[in-house]
Amino acid sequence: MSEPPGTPLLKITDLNKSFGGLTVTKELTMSVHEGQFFGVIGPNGAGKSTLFNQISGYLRPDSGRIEFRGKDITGLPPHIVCHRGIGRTFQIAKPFVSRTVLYNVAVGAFARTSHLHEALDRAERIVHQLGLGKRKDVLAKNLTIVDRKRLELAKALATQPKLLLLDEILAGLTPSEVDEAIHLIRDICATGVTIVMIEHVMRAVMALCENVLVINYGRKIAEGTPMEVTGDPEVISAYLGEEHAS
Amino acid sequence: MKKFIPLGLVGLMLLALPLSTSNPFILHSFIMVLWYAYISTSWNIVGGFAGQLSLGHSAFLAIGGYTSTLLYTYLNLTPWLGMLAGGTLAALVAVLIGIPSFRLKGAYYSLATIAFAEGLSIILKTVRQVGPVYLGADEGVHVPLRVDPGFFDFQSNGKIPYYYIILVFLAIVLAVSWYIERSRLGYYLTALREDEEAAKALGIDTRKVKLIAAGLSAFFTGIGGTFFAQLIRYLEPGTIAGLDFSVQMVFLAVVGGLGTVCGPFVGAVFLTTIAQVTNVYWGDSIPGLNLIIYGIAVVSVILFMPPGQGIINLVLRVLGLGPAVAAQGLREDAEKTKETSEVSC
Repeated sequence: MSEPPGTPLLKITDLNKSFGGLTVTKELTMSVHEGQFFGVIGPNGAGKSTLFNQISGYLRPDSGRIEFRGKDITGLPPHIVCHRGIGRTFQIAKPFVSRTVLYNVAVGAFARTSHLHEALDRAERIVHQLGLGKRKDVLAKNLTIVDRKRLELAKALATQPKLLLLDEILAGLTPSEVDEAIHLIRDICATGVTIVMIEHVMRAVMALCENVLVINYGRKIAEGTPMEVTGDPEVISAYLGEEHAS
Repeated sequence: MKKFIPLGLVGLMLLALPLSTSNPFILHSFIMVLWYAYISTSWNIVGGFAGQLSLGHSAFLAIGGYTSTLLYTYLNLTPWLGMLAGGTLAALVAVLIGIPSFRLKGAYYSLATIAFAEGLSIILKTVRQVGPVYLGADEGVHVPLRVDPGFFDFQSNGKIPYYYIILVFLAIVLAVSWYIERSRLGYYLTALREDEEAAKALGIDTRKVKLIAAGLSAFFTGIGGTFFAQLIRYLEPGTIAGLDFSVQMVFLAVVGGLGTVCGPFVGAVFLTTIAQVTNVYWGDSIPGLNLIIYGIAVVSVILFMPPGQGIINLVLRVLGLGPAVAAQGLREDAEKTKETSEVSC
């Protein structure tokens, strides 16, 4: 694996977290460089979402260090992490259901402006960028699953993140919707947003990610290009059991 | 522009209302309707917009009322300034109480607010004297009566000045609510109410935003306490700090339309009118009937109106203002979705 030069955008060192006796993150070290498309995969319960929750400030790690753009952000509360430039989506979309799509996105846009018309302008642009233009006045509770996912993405983008954490944004989509979403996410990456995604849809991981981190029981078991990690015996054993590994 | 015609008509009607009667009882009823609308709109800032169901807001009425009355009695400070002092003190207390209690969610938060208000009420009911200041324990305090009251005394021998004062107060708190709804704070409060975790991810300091809402709400509620003191000229702790007022504020907002600008006002006009009219006509002949009708009205609204939206849409439609964005009718949404999905297919 070739390391891109320069200081990484996100650098995690020796991260540990446990809930009582259950270790969810163990001595995890990883770095993501600017412009990279980074994937995090692993079996259910491997600690992927917990990792995101620690980066985005929802959980305080027991020990270790998280650096973003060279600054320590370990244990900062979520709203500050957001202002520093990390956006995130949730595994189960969390729209503000009683409000319109545009309103939802404007809430995110307010992170960078205090003027209503500026926030609405920015929201409008993002809504169109993500193909929600025709639905901008629909209440969020009436959206289909795929549009909810788009909205989740739009809200996070509205905060103008440098780094975007996508937590299973493709789960529950039909194959054709996945293809559409892959294009959408690739476009977002092209605008200069670095992306880290947790994903089970391997087709998307193979198509999008330059680097993949595989974790199991909170531990890094492999890292490399998608081709490399899917051939790794330890990864195969984590997913399919020991007997398939050889 | 079309919107301003019905709004202007409502405004004109409210301005002209006192001219329609010389009966002090009816005038007093009008004043109380506006006062209820005012305190319910104040409560709505934290209870509706921020979705933090406070059931202890009468504590802020008491803080406002007692502060201005004591300042007036002992320092001869005009209640106009005393009211600002009382409102500020109420806001401060709300923020201090909010720091620990906003850690609680849902029903636990509501219980904490009740506990706070009941605590304050018990203190006011038992403490008779603090140094030179007479609090009167459960007898409460009187607002000193001026024989020939001027503007600075915030008193009047007739009812009409009170009517216009509370009308202005109501207009101010409605304007503030209207402004909040269209500002970043309003968007943040809505986000926080609907999904606190999602709100944090979008850079919202939910704790700070809740405290701002609580402070603003308590400030205006405290001023409502001063008005009540000046109108009734007597503060009895069991009433002013009691659960009745706290619950009324919530009731009116819920029936009118929780978290909407005009909802609490509409709820206050609707429910207080029902309560007064039934009381006048049947209060003596069939005791209790007025309360039954009141109860039926409340239950009907909660049962038959779209959840959490009250009667505001109905009223707005009658006035020709269309549904508020905050609370569109369910059926219309469904139609809208259908339309848009057809367009895109």
